[in-house]
Amino acid sequence: MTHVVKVMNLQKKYRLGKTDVIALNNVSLAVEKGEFMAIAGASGSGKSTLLNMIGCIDTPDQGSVFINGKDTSGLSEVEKSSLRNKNIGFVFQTFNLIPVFNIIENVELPLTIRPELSSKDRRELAIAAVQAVGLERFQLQVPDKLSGGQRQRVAIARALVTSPSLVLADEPTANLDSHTATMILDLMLELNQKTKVTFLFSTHDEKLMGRVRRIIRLQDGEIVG
Amino acid sequence: MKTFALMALRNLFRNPRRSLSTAVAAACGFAGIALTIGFIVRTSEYLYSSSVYLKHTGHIQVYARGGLDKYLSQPSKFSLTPEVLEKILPIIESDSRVEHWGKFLVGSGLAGNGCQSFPFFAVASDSKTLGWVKTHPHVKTWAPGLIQPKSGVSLSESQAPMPIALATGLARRLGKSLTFSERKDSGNDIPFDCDSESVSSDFKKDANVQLSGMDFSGNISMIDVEIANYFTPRLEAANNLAIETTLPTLQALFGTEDVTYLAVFLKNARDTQKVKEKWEDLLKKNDIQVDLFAYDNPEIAPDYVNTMRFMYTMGILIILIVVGVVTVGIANSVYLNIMERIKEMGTLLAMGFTRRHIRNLFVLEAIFLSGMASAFGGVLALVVAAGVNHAKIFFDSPGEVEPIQFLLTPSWPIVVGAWIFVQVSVVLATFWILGKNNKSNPAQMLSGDSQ
Repeated sequence: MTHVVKVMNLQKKYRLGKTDVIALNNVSLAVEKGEFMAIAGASGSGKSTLLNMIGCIDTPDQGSVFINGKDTSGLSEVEKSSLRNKNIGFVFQTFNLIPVFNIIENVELPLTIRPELSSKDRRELAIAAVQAVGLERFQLQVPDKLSGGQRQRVAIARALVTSPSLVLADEPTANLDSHTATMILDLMLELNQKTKVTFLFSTHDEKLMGRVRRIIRLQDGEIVG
Repeated sequence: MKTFALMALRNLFRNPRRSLSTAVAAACGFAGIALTIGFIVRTSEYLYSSSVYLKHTGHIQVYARGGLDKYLSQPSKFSLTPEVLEKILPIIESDSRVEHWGKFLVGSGLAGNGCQSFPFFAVASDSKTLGWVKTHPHVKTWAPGLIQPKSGVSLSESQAPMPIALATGLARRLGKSLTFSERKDSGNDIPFDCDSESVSSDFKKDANVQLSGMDFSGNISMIDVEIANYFTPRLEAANNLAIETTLPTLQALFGTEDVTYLAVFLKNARDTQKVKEKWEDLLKKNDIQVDLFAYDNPEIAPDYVNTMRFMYTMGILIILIVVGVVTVGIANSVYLNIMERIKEMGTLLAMGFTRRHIRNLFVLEAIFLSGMASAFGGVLALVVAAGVNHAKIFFDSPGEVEPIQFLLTPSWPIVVGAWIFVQVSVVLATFWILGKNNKSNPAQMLSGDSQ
């Protein structure tokens, strides 16, 4: 069976002043299709770095990342861009919505670089994604008019609109109050079950981890559990 | 692309104050460029009219070999004889690019009123040519203030047997103000009593002038001429000396049938060099010993050529400085936008957009900003120019006899050309700025770090 994500012996060092900081040390893991998985760890443990490597937005010093069985290490920048657009959805801690676009335009944005889709198809897909996160009433609002939880729902809709095989969420609840954080996690779980899209997210919130089927724990760049 | 255009347009309103201040600065700068070019064009066309038509250089001058430098010292040796003219004229007349041509004789001597004499410098041609140059459409458009005569009738209309046009400065020296057509009786009270108190008023009642000079044989020659009109040459230096007259009149004074040069006026000034080269070949093949000069040769028209060189140099310098300031202003705005939106660039890259997409987005933003600002600046320039031209502002220019109207003529082609120049500069500046800040990996950008 092909894994959605397979990571082998990943290593990454950062230079901080005159010293090298090991962000990831020989990390290997595999994620199967439809999994809902958390990467847990304290701040600086390497969670975001690992997600960045898996999302092909950063390059490892050593090791390989396979997405749907494809080795990403030999891909050009443009090929990586295409891989991200077609296979990976991103959800960020600070939502990262485009402030000059309304909700529906924000959600539609990743589809605008797909020439095979007509503008009508793009708009229909975006409306469906917005409906899936329960924000159809806010379609024409700009992000500034929405609450934090609503913005994160928009970000989730944007991540799912391209029908990716993998959604990477870096601390998606860190900027939300605990009630909203639980609601967002529930929404992600619901969408995971409905769409069978693999969700991989990082968190340091122990309360949320109880709701997750599989947890990888990182400490000082190494998997510890 | 539509999404990018929409995003770029909306991004301009993200920081409206910054966009507005940048746009106003760019618009003013652009208006400055358009008006500077407009002033240069106006000056260039004015001097071109004056030089080519009113100073009778034409687009191509044909002199006897060495005549340009040596004619005045040895006129009989360095003039164009009727025999030589007979060989040259068929070549000129057969060229369809020629609009008009004229024979010109120049020379100097003394002009007298019966009591006093003053030096003169005369230019003579057939009266048709002298009338044609003064009513040429280019002169009417660009130098209407120089259209002559100021008073009297043209040489071709004058009934006088030997008519002249007298520069107002020389007329003042000679005490003349009457023209031949204004005379009340046919007789003059010559000789005047030069010691009489009324001699000044006697001069004013007399349209006759005596010209004397050394003829082509080296003998002193004198003729009586009548004033057909008074005119004001463009340059102060010429005003106390200049006389225009018909070819037979000056040929009578100098005792010759020769002329100094042929002036050829072309339909299109851009053909000058090609026509000149072609004629040089033809004349050489026919063994006709003449020199040809183009109207933009500094030996022929030093004031026109050197003034325009200075104007173009200054104009280019001013335009480069203004374009530089406009470009830096817009580039600064683009730079601040990039710095503020590094995270957004990272987000777009994470979604699958390429660096080329990002570059296109920022280039579009810069083009929209500078494009709109420049378009507004262009309209501003046209409005300012219309206002200035309507106000009829005159100024004294060194060396010019009469005040010149301050005119600005920024034409649409010039404005569009300047607009394209500014856009290209802005695009290049944006490329340069982005080149430095669009290289980090997406993860770095998402953390807000551009390096």
